[in-house]
Amino acid sequence: MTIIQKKICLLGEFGVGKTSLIQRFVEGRFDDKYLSTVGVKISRKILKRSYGEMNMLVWDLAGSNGIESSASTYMQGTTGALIVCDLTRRDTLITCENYARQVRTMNPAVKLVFAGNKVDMTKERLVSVPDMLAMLSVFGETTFFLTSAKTGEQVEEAFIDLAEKIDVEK
Amino acid sequence: MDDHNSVTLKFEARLAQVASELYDLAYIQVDANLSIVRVSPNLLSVLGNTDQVAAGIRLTDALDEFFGSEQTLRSILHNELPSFKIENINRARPDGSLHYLTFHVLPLDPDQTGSALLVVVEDVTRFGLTEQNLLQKRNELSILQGALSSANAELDRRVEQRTAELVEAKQKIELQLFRLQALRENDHAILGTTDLRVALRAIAEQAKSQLSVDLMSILVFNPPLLTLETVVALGAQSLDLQTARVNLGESMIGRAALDRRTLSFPDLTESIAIPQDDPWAQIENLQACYSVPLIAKGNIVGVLFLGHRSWLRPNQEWLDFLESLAGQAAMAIESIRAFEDLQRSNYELALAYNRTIEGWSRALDLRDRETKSHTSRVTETTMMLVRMAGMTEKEIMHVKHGALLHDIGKVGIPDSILLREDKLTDDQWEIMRRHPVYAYEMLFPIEYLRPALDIPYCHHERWDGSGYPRGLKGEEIPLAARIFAVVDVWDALSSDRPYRQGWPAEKVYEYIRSQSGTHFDPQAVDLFLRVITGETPASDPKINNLP
Repeated sequence: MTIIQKKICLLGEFGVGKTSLIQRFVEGRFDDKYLSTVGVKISRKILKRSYGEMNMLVWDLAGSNGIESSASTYMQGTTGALIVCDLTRRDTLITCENYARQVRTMNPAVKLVFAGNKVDMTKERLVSVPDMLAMLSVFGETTFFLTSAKTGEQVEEAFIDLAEKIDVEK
Repeated sequence: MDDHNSVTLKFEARLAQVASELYDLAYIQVDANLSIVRVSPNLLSVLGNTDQVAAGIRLTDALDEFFGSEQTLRSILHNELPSFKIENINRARPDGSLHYLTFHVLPLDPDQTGSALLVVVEDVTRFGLTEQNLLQKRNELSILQGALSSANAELDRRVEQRTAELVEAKQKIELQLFRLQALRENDHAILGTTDLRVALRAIAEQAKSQLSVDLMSILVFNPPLLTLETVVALGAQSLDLQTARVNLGESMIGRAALDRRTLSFPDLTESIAIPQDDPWAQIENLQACYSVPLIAKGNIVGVLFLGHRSWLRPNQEWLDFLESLAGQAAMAIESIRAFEDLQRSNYELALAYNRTIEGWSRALDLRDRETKSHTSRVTETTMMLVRMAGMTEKEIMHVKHGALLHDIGKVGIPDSILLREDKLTDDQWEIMRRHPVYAYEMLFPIEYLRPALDIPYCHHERWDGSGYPRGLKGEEIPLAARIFAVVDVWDALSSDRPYRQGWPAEKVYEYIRSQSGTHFDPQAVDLFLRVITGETPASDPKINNLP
């Protein structure tokens, strides 16, 4: 059986729910309490693939407005990134764009998947699908995931999609 | 192991112990193949006892933090990079507590390229937790600020939206006020005229202006001919339309009237319900038109037709206003027609009254054997004089009635007295003198003739108070009666009677002059003489100032 190990990063402004998405994906749980991430936390998830298994190392980077120089070392060896915005905060959409641009500049081969998190908070929602599509169009992307770490909606799908994109380049 | 190596190992062990106790440091030595050669005894403790880090295992396999960093590690090994640091790695201890590590990678011996690497592992939990605490507060504050900013933006948006709604509402209210004002002006126009053309023109002008259309026309239904006839057509370019007559059921106008329902064509180019060759649309090159039946008390009284040379997109208020205008037009047609009917009835009634009065008057003349045309002469002359005295036409009409019926009271006098040729006895005179009272009793109950009582009741009163029936004196006697008294005597003396010839005119005038101030009102005498003879008034030069 073929086992490959891949490193991916979760990027996005603080508080968008990156840690919660990983917690949902890796541990299958959700904690409503917000705890800011300092530095980086690495988690591991083994995914069944058609060729065998992918040992996915998920790097949860502290949220910011973009990749800071001190954090650039975290990106070494990354093959994919899940870029996350908060659907209840419009400014986080702009930060998504910054991250995606920086990642592409650092390494054009990095696979990108976009997610609008907190889709369960319908009353507070400020980012629309057209808003998302407008941001994606800058990078030639047309698909994104509306996720909820709280309910689990589309969380696995987003990570699997990133894995599939990485598989193509395997 | 020689002594030197033994000392070195002891030194290293002691150094590791001190570093671990004082600085929470541990180390890993890696060879040129990136395999672990040796680790400090406290390494697993610093790492959190979660890893399998031992000599012989590749660094990148032992620690996930180095996965993907092989190239960088080799660069340091070959002195291409001075060092490499991975900061603030979050790790969980077996008890679940969080701790932070920083990995420093540097050449073991900078003078020996490609020999070995030293990885220093530093537990920075103390700083990490402090930083996490600060960052947590900063981020929470920032999220709150963002939420506040969003709330403010939403508030601004709602204020803006509300302001726009208020402006729109204000515009709507103003428009409704304008339209109410227009309807009020139409009411005034309808109430202020009995001319149908004037009233409908006022309505059409308001309608054309308020509804902002190019053509506004009102046609009135002619039931006997079953046609609708244009009364007003504003904005019509064709003269034909300004005088158009439409048969009931023909064109969209005749159809609206026949079907008694509004025909709406806001965009004729999209309409399939109306022939494109409808003459009204075609002649005026209309793109939109509305044909509204005017219905009053359940009857068709006309059609209000409006047209526009581009399409219309009317809202409900526009349609409501159109309906209101149509209602007003229907009401105007109905009320003015009712007024005309009433006026015609009044004329006919007045004519009937006049003919009746004239009939009574002729009957009286016949019974009284009065000189032929006496009554008509005194009536005409009295009317002429009171007109000269400044009476209004309405007052003159009452004078006419009074003059025609001046002796109506004589119907109550027995023929034996009335037609007696000999002198009357005192008793007979007493009866004869009752005829003005009889006239009063006969005419007073008739409301139409009550204002005409002055002459029949008072024409035998005398200026000096010696007359009958009430012995009124001077200006107590109504003016019409004072004037009529002069005229009646003048005609009586001038006319031939069975028992005498009529007096010559000059003798009559002399007699009248002689009675001025006793029998007659001097001013009435002066008026009479001036009008009949053309002579200058003797008694009072201000004859024209008669009340």
